[in-house]
Amino acid sequence: MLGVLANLLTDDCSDSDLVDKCLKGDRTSFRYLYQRYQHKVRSTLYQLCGPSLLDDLAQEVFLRVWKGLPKLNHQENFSTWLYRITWNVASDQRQAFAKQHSFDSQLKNQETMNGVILKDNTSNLMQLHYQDLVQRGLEQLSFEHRSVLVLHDLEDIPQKEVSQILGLPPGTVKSRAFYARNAMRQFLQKQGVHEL
Amino acid sequence: MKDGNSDEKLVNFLKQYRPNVPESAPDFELKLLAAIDRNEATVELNHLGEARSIASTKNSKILRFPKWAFPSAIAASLLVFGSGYRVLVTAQHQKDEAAHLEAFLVNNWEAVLKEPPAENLLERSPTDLFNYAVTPDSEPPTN
Repeated sequence: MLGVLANLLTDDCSDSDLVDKCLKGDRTSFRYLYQRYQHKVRSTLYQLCGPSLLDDLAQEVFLRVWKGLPKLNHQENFSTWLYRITWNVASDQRQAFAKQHSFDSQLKNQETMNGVILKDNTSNLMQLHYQDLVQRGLEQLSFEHRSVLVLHDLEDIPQKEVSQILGLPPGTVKSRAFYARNAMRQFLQKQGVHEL
Repeated sequence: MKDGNSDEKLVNFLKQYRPNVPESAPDFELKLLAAIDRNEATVELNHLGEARSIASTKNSKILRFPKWAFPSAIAASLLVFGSGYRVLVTAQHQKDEAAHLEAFLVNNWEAVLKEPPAENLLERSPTDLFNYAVTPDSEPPTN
């Protein structure tokens, strides 16, 4: 009950207000910021890096946010800055993955998916199948194209903001989005999804 | 070239079937706040460590000062003492020499003034020239 009331009260607070309070040492305001953005951060990280180490990566993001708050010049751009940090953490992790990525991890993911299918007997198998396809489709994209597709198409961030997050010209973001969609469409069609 | 409608269909499909994000651990938020606390503590310790190291560096500088300063100070004071003594002795010598010179000049000058006129000298016999003039106030020759 108290949690719901707190959420209602903080919904009126802008990011900028909460950041201001955080800078004065108010941890509660940081918790509100965390609660406001944690799902988006986790979702982005998950789609960019997969399920392994998701909690660790999310913690790394919010730690970097806490440490970096005093350096944030434009508090009204908090969400862009947060996505930028998220993407940086994902990018660092991707480089680490590249060094130790092996067939084992793919097997592990497949086992996880199989486990989900076996556990949840009531789930729609078609739904799970499509989810698996989307996951695999994202994985077959390069990190650069996947980043644009995830941020723009799945997280609904405008292309202009995506270009700020990735530090790229808007034209590059647009062309990457075009390429990523085409690649994704072709992959899905090859897998038998013809309604696209 | 795909049209906007096709893109919209694809994006809707992706959104509909995007993989479900696994839930975070139940105590994730608490762990995060604890990690932030640890980070803050580490930052404070680092600041404290830096302050201590700066203070200890200053102290060690002060403590180290005599090690290199004492020999230098001794050498410098010896140098000052030696050169001062030299200047003092030289000045004393010069003073004595000046007094001697002054006395010599005065004596010499007085001797010249007391000599007889030149015509008297001409009237004297050549052998007189080698004799000192004897005046009432002159002392008799000792030898």
